[in-house]
Amino acid sequence: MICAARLLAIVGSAWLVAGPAAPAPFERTEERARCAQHDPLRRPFFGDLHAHTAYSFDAWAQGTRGTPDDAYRFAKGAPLAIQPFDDEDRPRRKIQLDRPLDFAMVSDHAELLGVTRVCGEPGLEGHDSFTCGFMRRFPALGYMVVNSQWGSWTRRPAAVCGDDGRSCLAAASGVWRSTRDAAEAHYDRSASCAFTTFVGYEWSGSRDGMIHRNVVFRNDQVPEQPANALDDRSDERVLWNRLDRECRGALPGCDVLAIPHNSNLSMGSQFWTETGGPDGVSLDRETARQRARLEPLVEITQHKGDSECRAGGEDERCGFETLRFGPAEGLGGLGGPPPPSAIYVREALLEGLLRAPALGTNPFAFGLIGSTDTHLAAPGYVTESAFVGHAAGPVTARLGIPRPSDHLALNPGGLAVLWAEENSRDALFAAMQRREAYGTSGPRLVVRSFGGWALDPSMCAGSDFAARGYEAGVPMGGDLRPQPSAVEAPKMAVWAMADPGSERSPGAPLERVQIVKGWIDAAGAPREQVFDLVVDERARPVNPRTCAPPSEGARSLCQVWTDPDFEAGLPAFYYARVLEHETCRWSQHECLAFGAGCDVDEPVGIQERAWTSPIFYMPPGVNAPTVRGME
Amino acid sequence: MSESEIAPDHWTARRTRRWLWLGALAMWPVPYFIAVEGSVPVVRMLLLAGVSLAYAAGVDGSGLAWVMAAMLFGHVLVGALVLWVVAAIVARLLPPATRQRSVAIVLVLGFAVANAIHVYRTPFDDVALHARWFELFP
Repeated sequence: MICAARLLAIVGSAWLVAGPAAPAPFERTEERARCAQHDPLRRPFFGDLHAHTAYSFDAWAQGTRGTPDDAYRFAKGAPLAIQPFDDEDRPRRKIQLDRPLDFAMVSDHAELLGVTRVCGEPGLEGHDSFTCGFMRRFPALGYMVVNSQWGSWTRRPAAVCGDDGRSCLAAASGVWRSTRDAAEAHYDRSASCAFTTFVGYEWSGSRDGMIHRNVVFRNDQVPEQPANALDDRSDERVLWNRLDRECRGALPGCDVLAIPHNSNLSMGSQFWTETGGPDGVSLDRETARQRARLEPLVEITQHKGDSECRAGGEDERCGFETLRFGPAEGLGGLGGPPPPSAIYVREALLEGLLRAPALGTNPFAFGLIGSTDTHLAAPGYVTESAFVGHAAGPVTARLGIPRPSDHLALNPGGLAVLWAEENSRDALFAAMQRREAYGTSGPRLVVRSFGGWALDPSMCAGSDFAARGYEAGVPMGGDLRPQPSAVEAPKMAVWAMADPGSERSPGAPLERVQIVKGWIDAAGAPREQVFDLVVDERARPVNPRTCAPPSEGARSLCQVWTDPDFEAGLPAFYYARVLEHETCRWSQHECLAFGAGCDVDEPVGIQERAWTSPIFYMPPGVNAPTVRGME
Repeated sequence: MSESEIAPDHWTARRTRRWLWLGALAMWPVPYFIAVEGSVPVVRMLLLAGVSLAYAAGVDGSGLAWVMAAMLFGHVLVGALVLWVVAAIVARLLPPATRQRSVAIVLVLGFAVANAIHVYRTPFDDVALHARWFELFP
């Protein structure tokens, strides 16, 4: 008996140090052909989970005509016609991806799906209302007025939808059906697994600031109507309850998650705990757990700015595509300095560590992705030298091609990257749930990271980086396993490969790999530190007069790093940040090409980058694992 | 020479000013900047202001509805005032004997040019970025 117990202890210790031999397979919930390409050690798939089409009120009002069908075609490599259109309805611009995406999701605003359809389609009840006429006859003026209103609406406009909102609800059903049909039509269920779509929408609530999130369904089992912030009174707790009730609790096989975005514009209401919550409530244990379960990811970058971290601190690379707060910016009525409460992802990650012991769950144990938020039905159109704007650009864009292409503070957005066994909904969704995901600011950097106590320092030298990483550690997004007694500090292994780019837009070499560590110190204060793991000293500033891509530099970087200041009693997270050599920002490209966008307030050069999902560490005795740890 | 001394077949400065002013209100491209730049006649801005006001008062006054209406009316008032001053100056500078003919020529020529050339920049409209006069009031 004693021998058996000792044997179990030895095996257990060995498992704790070495881990399982291979990652666990994902659960299959749908009928489809098995993918011909299936890699148990997973591959990176590039996509965009945030794309609006003409079904979104604000996109339609700015002259966008692309439907979900068009958006998916575009994501797969087809050209897309965008505004402006000439007198004979011919597009004056066509855009096309250099490289197709692996997956995409159309995420139209759920709130006004019906209003948009009613105003746009003759014959529907409400089509001839003053509001719809205003929008159609004076689209730019109507857009400015109505778009400034609907974020604060608590019900659908009776002038368009009737007092009970019935006509718009009926119209919304048809739009939702079309959205689902388009996702199904473009989902490759054959063995080639060339392209994956997700059914989803954007829930666009507002409370002091944006509390928007994109809802992603695992498969085609989805509710009959999307939830929306009008019906949900901009209370995300109502959304979460509806997702649990109407999807997970009502439809066999239905699974769902929500991805918050634009926390940079949330004014503190996106990551609330004590203040900033709906109805003034504080975050309780049950809601924290529900949030962590339903929201494993956060969108760290997109057109409307980067949300990683607050500019002006010790981390000098936090100013990347960060929206400046000030009355002159003209974006969402921002004025004054950014609020002191958590509006950036790094702040939320720290807040999560801080609150986790009391809540029993880390409510902000987020994985990271990027996306675009395109309102042109153009998912994945992220090339700096080809930026065509967030939507129509300045309001004149419905009539002429604007220069610069949009407000100079905006940017072309980023991509979501998921490490999965194959390109199918189940595999990609599982990657999102376990946070084996990362975001890029646009380039297709390949980044892989593992954390563990027994990672081999020489693992970068071999060709089995992933196998050894899974064997001795956890991938990005994971929870560090309990610390073996003989090991003093965790190791992080990061491998990055430069984006090869395309003929039109060559990829830039890598400049450095960093680890961003956040922890709660012994006094209970949030702390953060950035470590350079490896730096390519050949990096030089970009020449703003030519914008020529860097001619030499590292195509791959890899390093295994040991935390030099680890303290076993303090909770921590670690995420990798990989930076490219400096290249020209989109505004500088336009400055050179058209003489527009030459604004001295905007940088001429940027360092495109990738952010991996954090790896979390909770000290022994703190019963507050992240949801993934619990499951 | 005072107004009373003008020959009866000559226009007074006041009458000249009024016709010039009305013509300018209807046709002269007045620049505006409300989030976007453009230049349209004051009457066109009056139409936009009226629509905005009707929407704000009759449908929904939240958000920027009242602000837009107020800004457009402000542009209308400023534009009308500036044109009135310009018309008054021009009317006084014109010799009495040529006023009527000058006004007629200006209005006819102005109307012809405004309908022949895309002199207006109309980002608040949906017809075209640059428009002719008749396209402003379809």
